[in-house]
Amino acid sequence: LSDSSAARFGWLVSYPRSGNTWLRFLLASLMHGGQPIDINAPGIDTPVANRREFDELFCMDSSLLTDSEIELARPSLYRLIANRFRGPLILRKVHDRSWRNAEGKLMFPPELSRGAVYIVRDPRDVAVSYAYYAGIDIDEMTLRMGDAAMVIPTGREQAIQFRQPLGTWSGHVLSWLDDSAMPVHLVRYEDLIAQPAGELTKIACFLGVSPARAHAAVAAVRFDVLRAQEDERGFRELAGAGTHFFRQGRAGAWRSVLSAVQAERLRKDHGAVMARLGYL
Amino acid sequence: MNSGLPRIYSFYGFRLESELPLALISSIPSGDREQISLTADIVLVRGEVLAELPDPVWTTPFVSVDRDGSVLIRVAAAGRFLVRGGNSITVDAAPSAAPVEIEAFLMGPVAGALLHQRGTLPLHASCVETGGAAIALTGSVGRGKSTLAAALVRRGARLMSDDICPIIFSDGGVPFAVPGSTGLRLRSDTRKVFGCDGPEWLPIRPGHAKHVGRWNEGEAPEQGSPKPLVPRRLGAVIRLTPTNFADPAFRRLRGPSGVSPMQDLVYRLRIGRLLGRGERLFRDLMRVADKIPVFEMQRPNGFEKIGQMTDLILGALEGDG
Repeated sequence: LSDSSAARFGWLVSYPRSGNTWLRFLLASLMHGGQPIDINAPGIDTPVANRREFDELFCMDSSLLTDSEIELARPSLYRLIANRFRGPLILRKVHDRSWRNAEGKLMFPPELSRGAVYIVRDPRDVAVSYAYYAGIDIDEMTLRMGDAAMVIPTGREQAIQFRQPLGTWSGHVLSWLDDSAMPVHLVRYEDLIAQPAGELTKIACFLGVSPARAHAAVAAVRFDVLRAQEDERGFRELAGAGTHFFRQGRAGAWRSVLSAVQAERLRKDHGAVMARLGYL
Repeated sequence: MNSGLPRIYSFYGFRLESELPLALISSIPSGDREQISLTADIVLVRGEVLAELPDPVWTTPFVSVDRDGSVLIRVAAAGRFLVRGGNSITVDAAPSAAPVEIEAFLMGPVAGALLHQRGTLPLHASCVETGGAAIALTGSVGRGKSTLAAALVRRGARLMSDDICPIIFSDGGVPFAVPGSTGLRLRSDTRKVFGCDGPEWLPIRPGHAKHVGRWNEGEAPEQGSPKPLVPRRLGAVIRLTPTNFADPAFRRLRGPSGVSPMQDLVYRLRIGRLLGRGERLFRDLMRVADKIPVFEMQRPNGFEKIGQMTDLILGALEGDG
């Protein structure tokens, strides 16, 4: 781990629908002594591709810029955020793959980064969850997960978020594990569900956060608690077509949903990385 | 294109003499000029602008502010814009930049810098006029200001300005909205909803999802030229915020909460603060909130509820008036 004082970003990275939001809530609760959190104001972070923050800090309307102009400026946006932020750790949610802009600069500057927590989920469960969330069928989603040109957001969210390239599911994993030029702590969603306090403790240690209240944080951010809050007050990060952001959160649900053909397609497209991560 | 005499335009309440022809704001007919004044408030010229200011006190990749209050706006593929003293704009357009691109920056960051230099409150708002009063729709980027303005124009309102709405005060302290750019900037999905996909809609940058078009003229063709837009008493400020639910929620905001956080209401507040205007901007916002009802519209994503939102707004104005 880099402990330089300039290196204060902790990037919480995942392909969409892989447990990123839950992890953020666990960390938010942990950093507040295991207290309950408000899902609409967890109080620790901002999504990393936020136009409002860009416009405010750069004093420029990102809506007047082209994607490539925004992308050339993004690394310096994070430098500006780091200069303005006083605390020891800046946590940001990331869905981009690790990538470089047209000048060859990494989008997430390693010299500003304490490291990345990469949360990965069995791509067969991702396909089910993401298809529901995006309101498309699973066949279409399995194709998208193999499309190197895949980019989010696709709809009206473009008005508030920048372009974020995902690439293929496998390519996303490999870009961060092998090509991000920063320390990466890999967490499997399935392990986080099975041993949340233990995994959260390891994540906290990686980020330099005290893990002392890990058990309390896990209790405060149970799935049914989040779902109940979403039922009662809604969730502002719900941007897709589904009616709920917190849907099932189970591991292995794909077994009763995917057809043999769909499962085989994912295995064919992503088998090498699935094997590396213990999913095959 | 007539590049001979400079033209006079009405630019966010000021008389702008421009070497560049501008399509998105109203020109002042030559016959009227003498009656108004021969003196321009602001002069726009073409000329070389250097990549950095002589003594910048603050700089980002796109904007610098000089110790003397000058503001430089630079985007390599579009050009450089130097705004000085609240009365001078120098445009150094990139060779490849189309006129519509230059205007997009003039009716955005350049106008914002100029209004801050001149001490005028620039609301970050799209503004329409209805029943003799102005409605300012405020909100940060992507909140749907232009979309809701377009919907209100469909219901008979008239667009006064897109994205930036200058506010001036009468001697009695009554706030008035000043007309600005009537070039509405809409994304492709919004243009489809409003059926404005014609060739008069031009991309604001090459390949950009947002296109700009003059909405009022296309929408309500009249005999002869339309009546010029004039400042209108501000009737309501409507703040657009996101919602977690499928239905819009509309409520009156009272007291200081109506105008905070300031950066959601003031266009490029940071530049105003760098120019030493932070306190004055705060006081001006409080004066607005003191005289004018401020509402919050929690706006769901998408277009399905646009009709419901315009009903709520027009209903509230009737109730208030």
